Amino acid sequence: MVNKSNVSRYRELLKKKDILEEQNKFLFDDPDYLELLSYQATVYRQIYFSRKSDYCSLIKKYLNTTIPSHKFRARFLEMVKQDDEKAEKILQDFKQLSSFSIDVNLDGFSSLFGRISNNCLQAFEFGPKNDGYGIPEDEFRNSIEEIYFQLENYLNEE
Amino acid sequence: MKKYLLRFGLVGALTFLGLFIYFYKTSGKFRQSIITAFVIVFFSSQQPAHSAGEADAAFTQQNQPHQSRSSHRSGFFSGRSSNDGSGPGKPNDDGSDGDDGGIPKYPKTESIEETESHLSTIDEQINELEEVTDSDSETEEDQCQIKPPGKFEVDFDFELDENGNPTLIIPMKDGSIRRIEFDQTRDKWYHEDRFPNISAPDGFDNQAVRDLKYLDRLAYLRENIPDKNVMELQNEIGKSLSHPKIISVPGFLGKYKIEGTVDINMQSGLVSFTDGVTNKHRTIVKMSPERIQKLAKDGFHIFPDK
Repeated sequence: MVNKSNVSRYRELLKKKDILEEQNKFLFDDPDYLELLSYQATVYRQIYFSRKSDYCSLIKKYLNTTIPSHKFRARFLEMVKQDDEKAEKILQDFKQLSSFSIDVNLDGFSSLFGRISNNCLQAFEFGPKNDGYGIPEDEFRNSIEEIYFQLENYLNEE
Repeated sequence: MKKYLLRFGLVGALTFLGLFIYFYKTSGKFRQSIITAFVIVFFSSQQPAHSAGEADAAFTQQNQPHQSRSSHRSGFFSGRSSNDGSGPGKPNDDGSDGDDGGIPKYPKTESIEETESHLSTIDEQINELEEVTDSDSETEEDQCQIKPPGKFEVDFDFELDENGNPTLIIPMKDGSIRRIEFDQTRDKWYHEDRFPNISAPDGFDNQAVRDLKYLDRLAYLRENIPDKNVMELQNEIGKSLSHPKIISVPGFLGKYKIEGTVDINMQSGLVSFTDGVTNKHRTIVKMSPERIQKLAKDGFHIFPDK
């Protein structure tokens, strides 16, 4: 099921956020701000989802050892960065946003995708040390394998 | 011996008083003047004669009226070999090499010009001494006012690390601080692409650096990023952290839940983690609203257990 963006509500939420910031309120306690975050998040999710085959192909290459782990992480994060920039532009352009279609239920995809993305970022940032900051390579590989298995099942059911 | 002690005590006291007045007049610092005068008198009392016996012998051999003052001067700052200037406290270069029990001979009393010249030399040496004595009592604020020599002027207070590089001290709205270390920033210099004001060194290819293995990347950045560029990034991270739209919340990082503070720049989406024990800034990453939403749901736990 696909919905059109509710741009007028989005604009309203943006204004509310500005007011909350001026009042120095803690945004994360405010339901309107959380709704705004949720709204923006759906656009990001949709963009990631629209490139799901590219992401899956890259993950497969890594799991098949066609590309080494450090290159996989760098490329995955680069793709995420490109998609983030795309989503950011759409959210700034209300005309484009008004015609932007959103799949209603992407929570499952989003959760799995977010875990892969997080693991890539953590391993990239802090390396393979098991010091609480980094992730050892074997742990990284096992986690990607496990999450990808779930992601594949999810996409097959769609 | 008794005569020596009496003479030494009197001369020492007078020297101390004279030096104190001089330093106080020139520097205006009461405590430092006392310390410096004391240090000089103390060391000078050690120098001319290494023991009371030697001193006795010296005084037995030479008993001229102003020798004790002069021997203090020669012993204050340097060994005889390096003292090749003229003036009071400087033995005449008569070939005897001063091997006279530590007490040089003086052919004549000094002129005012000579005294002024000598005092200016002393002044320079005192300044050096003051730097040494000040180092113990220097406050953090004093240290922070020093600028990185010949490098890059930053917008924040800083301390110098053991390599002479700055650790920026970022004051936060709630009164806490974040410490942005030079080495840490250099190791993560590829984050420069998140800051439009940063200039990359010639030939730097961000994506190529990101493609390197973790240890190779560290080695490359340590080797190739000039100090100036690292300090620029430190400064930009500092600006991001002190942005008015920053939200700071207690948070965690990694599977061991390292405690710290998560700073979210609501303007740029840059999210930082600072260690709660050391206040050391550990990393800064860009997060999409989706990730920020997830972060809030996870209790501001960055990289929770996989």
